[in-house]
Order: sequence, then C-alpha cells, then structure tokens
Amino acid sequence: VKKEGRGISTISTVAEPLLYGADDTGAPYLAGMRCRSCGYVDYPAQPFGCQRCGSAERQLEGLRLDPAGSVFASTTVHQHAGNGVTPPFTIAAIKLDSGPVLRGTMIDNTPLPPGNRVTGVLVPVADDLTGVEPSTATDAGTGQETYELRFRKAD
Amino acid sequence: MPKTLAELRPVYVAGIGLHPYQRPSDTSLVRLGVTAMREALRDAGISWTDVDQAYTGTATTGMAVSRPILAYLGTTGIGMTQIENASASGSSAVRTAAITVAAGISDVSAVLGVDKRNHLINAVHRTGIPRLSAERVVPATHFALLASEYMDCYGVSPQQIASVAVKNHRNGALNPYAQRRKARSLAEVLADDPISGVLTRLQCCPVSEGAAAVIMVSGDAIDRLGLDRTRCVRITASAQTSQQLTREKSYDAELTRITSEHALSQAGINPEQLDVVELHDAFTIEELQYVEAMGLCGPGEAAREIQAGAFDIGGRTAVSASGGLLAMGHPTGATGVGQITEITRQLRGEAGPRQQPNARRGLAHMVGLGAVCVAHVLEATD
Repeated sequence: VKKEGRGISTISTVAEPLLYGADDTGAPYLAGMRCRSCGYVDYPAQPFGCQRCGSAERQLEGLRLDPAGSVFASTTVHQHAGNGVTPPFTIAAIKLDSGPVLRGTMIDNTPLPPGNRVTGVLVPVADDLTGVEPSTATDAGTGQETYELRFRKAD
Repeated sequence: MPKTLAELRPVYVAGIGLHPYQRPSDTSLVRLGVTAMREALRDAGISWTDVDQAYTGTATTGMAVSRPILAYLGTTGIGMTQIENASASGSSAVRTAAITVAAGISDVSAVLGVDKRNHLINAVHRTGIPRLSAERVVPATHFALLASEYMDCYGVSPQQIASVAVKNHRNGALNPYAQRRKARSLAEVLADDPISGVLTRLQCCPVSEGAAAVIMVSGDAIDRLGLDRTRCVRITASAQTSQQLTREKSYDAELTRITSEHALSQAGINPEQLDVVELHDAFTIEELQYVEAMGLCGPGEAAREIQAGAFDIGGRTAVSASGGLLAMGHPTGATGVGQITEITRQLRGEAGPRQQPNARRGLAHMVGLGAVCVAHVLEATD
C-alpha cells in the first residue's frame, strides 16, 4: 500500500463520505452518532431515529468515532462477484472501542486471531470502487485521489 | 393479552405438494406453482373450489404473483395475498394461513411458496443509509464470519463444520424433490471450491427455483369434506420475531433461540420431544448454531453430536431429513412451505427411505434477511 492514513496532509475525496472521512491531520474517522436521550452510540450516523430507544432526530448528534477496535471474527473471501475489490480479500468483524460493531475490509490477507487490535487507514482507490486495487489506483493523473477506509493490524 | 395459536380453534395440514427444486431454468412460474398446488389438493382429497383463501410466500419473483399462477386451477374469485419475508416468506405465509383458519375466518386455506431466481432487491439498499463493506459481505461471508467465531470459541475444526453437509447431502440423495441428489464424502465436501473462509461450495445452499404447497384446514372442514383425519397433522405453535440489538452476539442464533423457545412453549413441549427438525441450513455453520440455540444439545456440543449421528435419520432428532437448504435447495419463497411438507410427510409416516422412526412432533424454522425468524411446531394427530 503506497500511502496509509496518518501522514496524508490532504484527503481530497473519500469513496463513501457518509461512512467515513479524514480529519485535519489526514487521520480517518468513522461518521457515527450518539443518542442524547439514552446515550446509545451507533454507526453509521443517520437522521431517522435511535435504534435503541426510538428517540427522533432532535435527540441525535453526529459523533466522530475512532476506527480502532478488536477483531472477533475474520474470513478470507475466495469467490466474490461484487464490485470494489478482487478476491482473495479478508473481512474482519470488529468491535469498536466506542461500542458499535462493523465489518471492515483488511488491507491484506494476514491471519487475524480473535482479540487482535486493528485500526482504520485510508488507502487510494479508483474513485468508483470498481475493483482496482489500491496499489494500481493512483496513476489517474488528475491530481485528485479517492480514498477508501480499510483496516490493518494495530502496531 | 395476545393469544397464541394453541388458544384458537385447531388448524391442520391436510395436503402437501411440491414441484422439485431445481437450478434456474426456463420452466414457467405457472408450471412450478400449479404442479405443487395440484399435488397438494390431490393429497388432501379436495378440489380447488373447496379452497376459500390463498396465500403465496414469495420474495424474488416480482409483484402480484398469486393469480397469474392460481388462475390456471380454475377461477374461483377467492382472496389471494402475497407474503414477503425474505427467506422466511413461505414460513410467514404458513403462519398467516394458520392464523386465518384458527381464527375462523377461513375453513380451507391454500399456501403456495414459489420463486424463480429473478432480480433481487433488498430494501435496505433503498434506505439511503450506507453500510461499510455492504457489497463485500454477501451471505456466504456473513456466515463464514460466524464460522470463524464459532470455531475459535469451541475449538471446532473445519472438518466438523463440513460434516453437516455430509449428513444433509446424504439425506437429499433420498429425496426425489431435492436439487442436489448425490451423497458426498467429507473429503469431497472439503475439496470443493472455496467460497469464503472455511465454507466450500457444497457447504453453501444452491441457487434454486421451485414450489411447495400445503392445504390448511379447520376441524369443521375435515368433517364437512370427509377428509382422512389420520393423515392430518396439527399445527400447535407459530412464532415470529425480528432482530434485537445484539451487537457482536450472532443475531441469527439469538433469533433462533428466542423464536424456537416461543414456539416450544406455545406447544407445551421440550426440545427433547422433537423427532424431526427442518431448519435454515443455508450454510453448514448455521445448523451447528441453530441446534444449540433450539436446545437440541448444549452450547458447543453440536459438532460432536452430529459426528456421533444424533441428528441423522434414525438418531435422537432427525435434522434436515429432507436434505435441508444445503441439498434440497433454497427456492426462496418456497423453502418455508417445503419444510412443512417434509415434516407432515414424516409425522404421517410416509417419508419412505427418509422416515424418522415413530416421528410424532416436528419443528420448522427459517431465518430471513432483515433479520427475521419464524418457527412452527407440528404434531401427529392419530
């Protein structure tokens, strides 16, 4: 992977801006939310209601979540017809330190025992997520790069 | 307080029928549906004109499925409704028909489950709320993640997970309606194409089309139409729930635990009293998790029990005697109705080489995207 999250000075575009972004230092965050009424932290953010207590929009606030957590399951996908990535690739089920659970794409297929710490990184990809691998996606020549959130083992 | 099925008038399955499950083909939707329904009517010994309501479980075929099929049984003008609940569509159609008959609104309801593999749209993609990795986590990967967690938690091997497929393919080989009718060795299952994680192709249910039908009647209808009461099987419980906020806990297993608990409690029986179980074994790992969730064995014991033959035909409880989704196939809306045909056949003692000896009680279980779960308990009447 050519570039990883921290150290990127300007992230011009992320592939899924409703799901994640980069802060001023280029570090990735997850676009989460918190219910002011019951305190439930959820991911991703949405304006419709709290999944735990049902409070409506005025009780919901956006909350940037650190893409850091622990793996509790992982699988390497061998056959896959969808867009965005070419098999084999590894998906991890991750319990974020802030509570929510998500499934993230790993940057490589290194084995991931349960309990392994992972963290999010932004990697450059083709701007429509049509299966171009990160390592080949940066030669568009437009000066604009699109970044996708993936996960790697924490140091 | 809401009532359960057990507190309403008794409802019975009087007739069953199927169109064999098969790979997607150019077979007409109408051919699938009328074949299953005519067989069910013949089995019950009634005419289409005796039916007063029709419910069709369907998910992938398109809008307004019922009449374009059922009109060719002769137009009678009865009420017709489609019921969509993803993989549990057929189960929810069974539930709706059972409630309608039990409530006294219908005397003879026909339930059809049918689907061809047409364009599939999951409404969650219409919410405007994206999900991380959504396109990458297809069902095989969702369940491969559960398999990874289960193996770590209980020290279970990929071979033990795969042994579910050996059992269910062996059962499917004995079922003339099954899509996969070939017994497979453990080595064959393990050596097949890898799909995701430990799951190989033979550990994933095939893409299918097909149809299943059941005729559901009241006690009054049995007398009025002169039906053979000894071949009628009573539906003693119907339960349906949806996903709770489980976070990292497997919601599929949680749903199964809660829903089967509701169903068994309505029927007033314990899991040990079940002779046959048809469950949502779309992927091998599911059967391991669900037999535990249903209380057929303790947590982490499923792999050992399956290898010891506890869930074989002739074992303690025959699980997926039809071949299950893995071998019989999974024609989405048909599957939940097809489970009722298998359990009815078993409880009548008419399952031939797949017969579980002395089968008296059975449970049918499906989970569906959403996520939802539906369970029914059936009991022999004679």
